[in-house]
Amino acid sequence: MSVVKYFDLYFKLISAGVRAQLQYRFAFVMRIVGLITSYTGTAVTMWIMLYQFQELGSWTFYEMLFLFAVAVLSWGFCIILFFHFRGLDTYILNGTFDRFLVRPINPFFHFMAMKFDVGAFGQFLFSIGIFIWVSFELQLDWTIGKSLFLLLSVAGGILIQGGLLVMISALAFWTTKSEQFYWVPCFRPEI
Amino acid sequence: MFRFRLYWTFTKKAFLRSAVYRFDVWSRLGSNLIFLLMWGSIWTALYAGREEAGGVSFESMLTYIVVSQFLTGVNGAGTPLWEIQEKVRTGDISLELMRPFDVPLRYLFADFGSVAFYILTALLPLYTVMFIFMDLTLPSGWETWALFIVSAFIGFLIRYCIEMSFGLLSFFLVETGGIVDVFYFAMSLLSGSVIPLWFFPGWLETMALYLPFQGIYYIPNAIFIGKISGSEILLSLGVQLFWAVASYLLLRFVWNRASQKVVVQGG
Repeated sequence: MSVVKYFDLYFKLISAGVRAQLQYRFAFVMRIVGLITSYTGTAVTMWIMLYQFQELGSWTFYEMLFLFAVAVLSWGFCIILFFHFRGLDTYILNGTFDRFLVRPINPFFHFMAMKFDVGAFGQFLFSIGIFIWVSFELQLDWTIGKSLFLLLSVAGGILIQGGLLVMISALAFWTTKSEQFYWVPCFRPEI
Repeated sequence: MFRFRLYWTFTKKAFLRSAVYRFDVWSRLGSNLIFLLMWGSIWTALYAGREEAGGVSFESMLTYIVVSQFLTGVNGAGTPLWEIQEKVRTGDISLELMRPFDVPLRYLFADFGSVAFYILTALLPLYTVMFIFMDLTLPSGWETWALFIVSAFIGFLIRYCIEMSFGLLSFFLVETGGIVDVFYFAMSLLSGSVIPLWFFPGWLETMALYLPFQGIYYIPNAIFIGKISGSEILLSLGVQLFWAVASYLLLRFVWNRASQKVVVQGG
């Protein structure tokens, strides 16, 4: 199967998933509100920490905020693409993983396209809001080079974190349990 | 009448149950350590070589964070909030309501068991080693140790009552996501678990001093490092006791309303 076909199939599969999630409007909105609140909470904690000390290793509050927004953005994408790998061990344990193996598409791709967590929309709203705010505060001038660098570093962040998540989930093929290892990459309280 | 032996059974069972899931204990200890490392590094960077800030020496501040992380481990070892909420959502809680015990107390005593196991097998050995090998300040007299333990225990009760009351909100609301997030944020910040109250902006410090959360981490930590000393300790313990009673009454109130709701709906 060609790559183009895979792309086509990916969008078909995830659009079905998105429609399923949007059935529960209230839960969807609450999840986004919850995510934004908890990230704002971390930002407020950072503000209080720097209220007395002004800087953390020569980083000021706005610079820290920018760094935080980059991390949140890449983590948000990572959740959308890879976070459901966390449940892989249950599929293996119950034998339901077989259903991915018998279909004529790549099982990794199939599992990846199974879910598309639109709740992570909260992360986009948060980080884009922060980018705009910090740009004004620090008077950043966005050249093409800088924007490209930001995009690439977010992409890098997604791949590194996603790679870790998939690697840890794949341990379940040997141990049948991988949930407990999740604290290694998920040292943050918010999902 | 309080049937201590009945609830004591839950404590013993929970202790034994934790012993079965030993791997769980290790992974929890791992994440506790990572957070300790993170906050330790952050505070080291914030002090940036200074001997003291805000009237507190670097050594005391580091001790504050280590003790705080120890107490976070203690407070996090009980029944997780989502487990209670899941029981409410699936209706399994009705099975508990039918049995001849008081559900909030049953969970409290079960928590005593799992927390005891976690402290004895993981937290205590690790933190003892840490205190031996790191430059941390220890309380000078045994009285301070005793008062710290009492204060930490009352803090545990406050945290349990408030957290449980929140967990029971799922009796009334279908989706508690956002509210729970606000709650956990308020608790981690205003309890002084990661930033001691004396570093807060003035207005926020005043606010935090009028809220129950300070009793969970701030008061025991501050007693430990000697920031609160002398007769101030007794005053702080009094404040803690007041909030422990108040949050217990809150828990009772929420629990009565919640169980009535189940009974009305044909239990």
